[in-house]
Amino acid sequence: MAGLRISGRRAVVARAALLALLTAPAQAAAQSAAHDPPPPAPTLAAPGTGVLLAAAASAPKPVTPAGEDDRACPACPPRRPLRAVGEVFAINLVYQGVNLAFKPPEERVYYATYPKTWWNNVRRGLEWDDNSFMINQWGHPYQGSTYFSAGRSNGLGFWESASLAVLGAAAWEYLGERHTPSLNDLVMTSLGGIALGEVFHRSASLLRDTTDTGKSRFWREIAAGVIDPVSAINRFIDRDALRVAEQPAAFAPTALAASFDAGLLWRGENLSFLDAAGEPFLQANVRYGAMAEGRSTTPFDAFFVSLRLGGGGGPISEVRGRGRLLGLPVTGHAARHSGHSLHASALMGYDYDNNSAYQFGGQDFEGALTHEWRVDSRWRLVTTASGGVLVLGAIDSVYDSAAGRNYDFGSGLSYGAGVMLIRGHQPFLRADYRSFWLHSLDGADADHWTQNVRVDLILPVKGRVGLGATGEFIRRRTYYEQLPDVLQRFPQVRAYLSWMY
Amino acid sequence: MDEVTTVSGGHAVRTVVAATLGLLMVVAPATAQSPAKPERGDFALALGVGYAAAKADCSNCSPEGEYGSGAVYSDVAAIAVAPVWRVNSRVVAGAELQIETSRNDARAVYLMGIVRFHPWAGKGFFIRGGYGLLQVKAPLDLPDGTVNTAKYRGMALNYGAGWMFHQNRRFSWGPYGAHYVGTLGSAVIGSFQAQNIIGNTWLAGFAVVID
Repeated sequence: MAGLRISGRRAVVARAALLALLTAPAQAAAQSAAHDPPPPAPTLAAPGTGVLLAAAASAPKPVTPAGEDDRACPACPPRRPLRAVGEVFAINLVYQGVNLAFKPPEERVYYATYPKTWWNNVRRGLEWDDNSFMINQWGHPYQGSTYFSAGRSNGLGFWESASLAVLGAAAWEYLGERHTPSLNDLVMTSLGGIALGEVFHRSASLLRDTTDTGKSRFWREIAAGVIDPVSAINRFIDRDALRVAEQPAAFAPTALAASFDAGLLWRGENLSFLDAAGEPFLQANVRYGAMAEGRSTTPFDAFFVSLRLGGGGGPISEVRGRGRLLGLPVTGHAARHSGHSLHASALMGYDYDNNSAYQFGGQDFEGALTHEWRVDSRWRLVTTASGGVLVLGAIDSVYDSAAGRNYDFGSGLSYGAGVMLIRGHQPFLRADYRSFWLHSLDGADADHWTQNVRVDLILPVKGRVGLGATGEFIRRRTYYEQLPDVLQRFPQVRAYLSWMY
Repeated sequence: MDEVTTVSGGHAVRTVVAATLGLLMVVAPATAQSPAKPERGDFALALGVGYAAAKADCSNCSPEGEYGSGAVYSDVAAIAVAPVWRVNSRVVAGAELQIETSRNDARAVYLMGIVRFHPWAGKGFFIRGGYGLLQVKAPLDLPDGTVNTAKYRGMALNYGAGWMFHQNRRFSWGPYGAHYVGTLGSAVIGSFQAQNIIGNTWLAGFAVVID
């Protein structure tokens, strides 16, 4: 009983602290509002859309010159490093509060933390945890993206925000819960948070139009907020969501191509489609910037990402992302209308597969060489080879894992190659090979080797609409130390309608 | 008690003190140096010594079950050398070789890629992180009462923070702290199979950087 009383009281203290901190940003906003010039009176208040929309509908303000409020550009957020750090801790308090409020009573005690539990966590050090695959491989990277976004939305650069993702991850592991801090959480939250965070931040920026006003501006800000909520909260608190200014040049991609697919997926097993049923799926593919052009030291000024919903397995069944950290032309000039060019780049990658056949997730750093042959002004043939280190990956265990989970953690290698025939701005024919070798560091004593070959053909039908077909073959071999090796083969076929932007 | 612990101890402190004094003598003339303008690609060599508290545990090493925290910390001395290159005014990156040793011949060698990041350009405060390989050779107390020396390899990472005085001069120096985590998978040690071994090392060190 005494123990229950103590933890209950501490839970109350934690909630009170959480409430105090949650109200702090509002107070800060009120304080900053006292120093800001008063906003112009709303001129158009659409019924039913509230105060924010009414304010968003205000008349355009004159464009603010760069440098005001320590902004890198008129539409960029002001630079506030200390507030960014504060928001990282506030975000953790929100997560902690949600766990205290909604977890079953017997689990809430793990989120009632205080200095003694912090010290216990430090003394225990890091170990592997046994959370579900989705929590570890998707939930934690998403959590990390919110810390990263706290930095970006307070005017910090990529690497500064990256350090905040690490800070937030470490603070959560040591201070936010009583579970022994987890090595895999620290890595996944940090690296996944950086990769997803920058992709979300740039994607949200694409949706905003800072030169717009009124309803369309409001709904664009809201849509961007769905992708990057921390930035949206900061923008509304600071009234940047109402500020009219030129679009930030740093977030204008040199090229942009996107496609949205809807169709059916059939996944077979061991070369047979006999038991395969068509699973509906939706997929979004975005190519932001030109991955194989120009000299670049701006991280993620070019990236591609694909996200698949449905298709069997978890609600999110596939996420693939590669962002460019560095780019260097080797020979030729890719911007010419014809000829050859060779380009080298360093990439940061994130992969997540959670389908009915297998689970794989990982974060890697790769070097890539890309050869581009501009056949004429319309057709291009792009060939890529890449390879690097799989910093930390997870793959489902064929046998029961020794770690109390159904998947193993490990490090290893990632490598691949691809050929893409591009018509205009959209891929017409694409063939990819990708492989991961993962040496298990926690779980079954094994080496996992996955290989994936995939061919896509997208035929333009009318306007932006195309018809796509994809054939894919996944081969997985696991070499166990003390158990028989396992070979699995999953053929996969997709047919879909594609809307190309 | 079914427990596997690394056997280690403490001359470590004396070693660290001696090495620190030696390094301080090397860098003493540094105050006379004028600041150098850092440029991208500049090479620097960082040397470090430190005291660490280290422990290793595994998922079946303790009677309390999964990582039952049966393992205890022991004293370790560490030396490190790190060739690094400047990426920009706030970031340096390179490699780090760190060797840790305890009185009873437990030895760990880390070879890692590292990044040091100064959030405020020109200021001494920095955070750092690294990822790479680890090799451990250690005598282990096995559950059956025997001691067996084993060598195993795995993945390691580290993160930490510190402060550099006289940054961007020919010699700069300062204290730093870091957490090294090594994960070794499973290993057969004598008659015992230790599953999912993981080691934690908390390091307090002093570094000198020669630009």
